[in-house]
Amino acid sequence: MNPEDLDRILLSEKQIEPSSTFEGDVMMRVRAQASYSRHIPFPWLPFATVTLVLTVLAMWLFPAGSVLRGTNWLSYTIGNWIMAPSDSTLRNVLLSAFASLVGTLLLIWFSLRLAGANR
Amino acid sequence: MDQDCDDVRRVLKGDISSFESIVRRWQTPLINLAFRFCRDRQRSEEMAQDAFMQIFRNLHKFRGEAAFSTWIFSVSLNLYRSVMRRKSLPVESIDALMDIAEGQFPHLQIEQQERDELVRRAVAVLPQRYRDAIIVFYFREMNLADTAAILGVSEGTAKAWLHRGREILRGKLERRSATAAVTKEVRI
Repeated sequence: MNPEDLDRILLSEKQIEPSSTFEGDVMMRVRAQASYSRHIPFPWLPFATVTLVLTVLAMWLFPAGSVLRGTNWLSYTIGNWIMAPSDSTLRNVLLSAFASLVGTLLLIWFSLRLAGANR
Repeated sequence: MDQDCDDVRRVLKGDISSFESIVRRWQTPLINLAFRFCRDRQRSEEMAQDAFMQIFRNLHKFRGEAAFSTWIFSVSLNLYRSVMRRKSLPVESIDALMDIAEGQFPHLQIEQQERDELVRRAVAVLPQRYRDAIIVFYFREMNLADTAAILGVSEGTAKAWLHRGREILRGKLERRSATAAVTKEVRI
């Protein structure tokens, strides 16, 4: 086979026409992709609100000068609290943990609401 | 060209329907390029659809430095290349392809048309860089500069790949023809 034959064969490839649904199928996928990847803005307002609330809560729970007693506060358990419900340090730790959890959930809820509203 | 750039700008501003014009203009070339890789009509449409999705996702990367056609073919080529690598295609070596053809026509010389198709299939089973160079070169009607730009290599490299690819192809096909001639003589 000489080079001219090869050129002839490879240049004379038959043309394929797209099927009638091709364009529509592509555009359907493109539109789905566009709506899926629409930019979701970061929820700055709820984020700032929750951060402010958490800061105020932390300041209220831990007034200036208060220090967690000892270094082994992590070893406190619910059992300790039941045994000594008046232990203010433990109460503060549990309350701050609860506040953090509520704050996080609030932040997620606000973010989802905002993202949903923008769609 | 200007039409393409205008459509790209509109799509990037949020007018998704402008992408339809791009699809309309480029669907036939992209399907045909895909077909040269996979030799299967339905599959080439699937590959071209994926190429358009890739183009849509990466449209913001088109800076207009190269021609839109070069960019679009380059993006598609990368995709087709990875599809071919990822999925095992029912393509065999050149020898195996010839065996199949001769098995189908045991007492006849392979007709011109079948032989041509066999050569085209043989291109698809060349080592990747030579296959890409040959496919793009003939797809772009033997425009070397265009081929090099789409492949993302220098013209010298593209030329070397083309030369080597054609050499492998011719060598295999000639060896095969010689074997076939000897077999025919023995039969006679």
